[in-house]
Amino acid sequence: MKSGIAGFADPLDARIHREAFEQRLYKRQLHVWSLRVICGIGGLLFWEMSSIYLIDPFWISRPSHILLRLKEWYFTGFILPHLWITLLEMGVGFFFGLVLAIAAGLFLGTRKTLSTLLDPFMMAIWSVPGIVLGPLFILYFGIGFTAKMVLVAVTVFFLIFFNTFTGIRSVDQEWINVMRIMGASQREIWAKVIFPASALWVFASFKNAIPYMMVAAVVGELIASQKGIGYLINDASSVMDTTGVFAALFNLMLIGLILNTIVEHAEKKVLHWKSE
Amino acid sequence: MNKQSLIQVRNVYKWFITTRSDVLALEDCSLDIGKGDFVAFVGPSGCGKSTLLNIIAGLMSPTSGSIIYQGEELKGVNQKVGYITQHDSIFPWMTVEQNVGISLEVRKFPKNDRDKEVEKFIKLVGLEGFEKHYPSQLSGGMRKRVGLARTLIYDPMALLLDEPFGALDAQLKLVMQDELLKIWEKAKKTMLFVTHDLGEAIALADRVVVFTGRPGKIKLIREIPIPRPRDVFQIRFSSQFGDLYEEIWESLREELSKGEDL
Repeated sequence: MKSGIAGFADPLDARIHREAFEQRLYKRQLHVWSLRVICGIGGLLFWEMSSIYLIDPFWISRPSHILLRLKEWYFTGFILPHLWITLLEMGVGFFFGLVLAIAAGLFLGTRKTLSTLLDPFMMAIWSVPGIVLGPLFILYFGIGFTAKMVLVAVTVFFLIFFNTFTGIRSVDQEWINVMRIMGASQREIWAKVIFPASALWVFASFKNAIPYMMVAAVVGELIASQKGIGYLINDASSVMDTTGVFAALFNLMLIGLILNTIVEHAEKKVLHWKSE
Repeated sequence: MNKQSLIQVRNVYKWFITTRSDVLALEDCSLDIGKGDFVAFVGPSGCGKSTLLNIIAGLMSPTSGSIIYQGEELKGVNQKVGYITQHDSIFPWMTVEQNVGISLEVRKFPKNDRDKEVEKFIKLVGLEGFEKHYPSQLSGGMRKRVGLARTLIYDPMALLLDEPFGALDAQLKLVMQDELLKIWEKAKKTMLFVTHDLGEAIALADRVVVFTGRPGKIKLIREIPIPRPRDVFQIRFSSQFGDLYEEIWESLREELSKGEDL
């Protein structure tokens, strides 16, 4: 709608072109989606067949079995407390990790001396995967919710912190100069330039954070727990129930997919200026 | 002391001290710029002409020497100038009208007056109909116009332009030069224009200042007596332009060959 029709002698021409364009776009979308569905079904079918003719379903389970199991889990409500606790660990952990990361990123991003001073420490901490702290947190906080939430928060913290920090560091000095010459106060420079400019970086880190926070929550549960998707995986594999493991994994995939979609939509909303 | 001068550059030296080397970027630069003058700085890259512009903008302080702006020594950022660089540095997260209005917002203009001014200046640079567009939806030339409108709107006495049209193609450059001249003739701002394009400097300016290669010293200040109003599209074909070009080029060329090892 926005792209002008000024180039055309007859405005009707433009409308026809646009219609054709939209039709092409629609067709392509349709193609992509039908191919996706075919790929998905093909993959599942291949798996199903393999488990019938090639490999004992004891090892790889079978899509139809997994589907039945999922149906049972959802219909009896068996899975809901597990799903809920894992989501809660991720959600609360993400929230605390995010708030602390942005605060720390802003704080250190604007203090050159301090961040130079702390640089080797930050690098040292960064090179350790947060996950390995899992056993320690279990020791500190017990096998319940808190330990996993903290593990998620720590993982998320480092991802978002480094991006916020880098984002603030890489704000174009010319933008700040222009604002200073216009007479902007420090506060205005922050609100009008530094925040929006680093939003790009912060959002990029959200996308990275999703798989990692899921890993943190589930690994925490794998280490020791009584509830959660990780617990289900552990429990199922301890009785050699591969179907149960895959059914639990399916839930994780679903969570990841939904969270990614949410972040993408939020990004489009917030960074709508980025491209046309 | 010239009563009419707006900007006086007094014996400015600028050293850049880094871990690798110490560079004298500007050596004993002195210059008087009168109110309403159009002055162009040319010189080899790295000669300090942009540094001098930044010093006049108050974004850097000189190692020694001073800038007298309106008879007062400049301290801190110079908020009486407009500053436009090669990277248009308009804000990609703001629409055209938000970009144009930002300086008034910062200067606490009431919302109603602001909207009126924004409308006026968007019209001035010919961007009506694009008020709600984001910079990513605009062409390079349009972005330049947004930058120009954003700067002109708060009515600075002087415009500091650092290769503002450097990244544009040759034709668009001419169009923008033409518009800049028209705006200058109407608004009578003082213009400091840094460029590496000698033709552009002669076509636009009252005076062309040639800098030497590092360290940057003022080598030559040449008046450009071509009458106004000027037609940037035609001016290049006049013999007066050709003679001036040749004369200044002679002086500039030595510096360019010197600058090559930088």
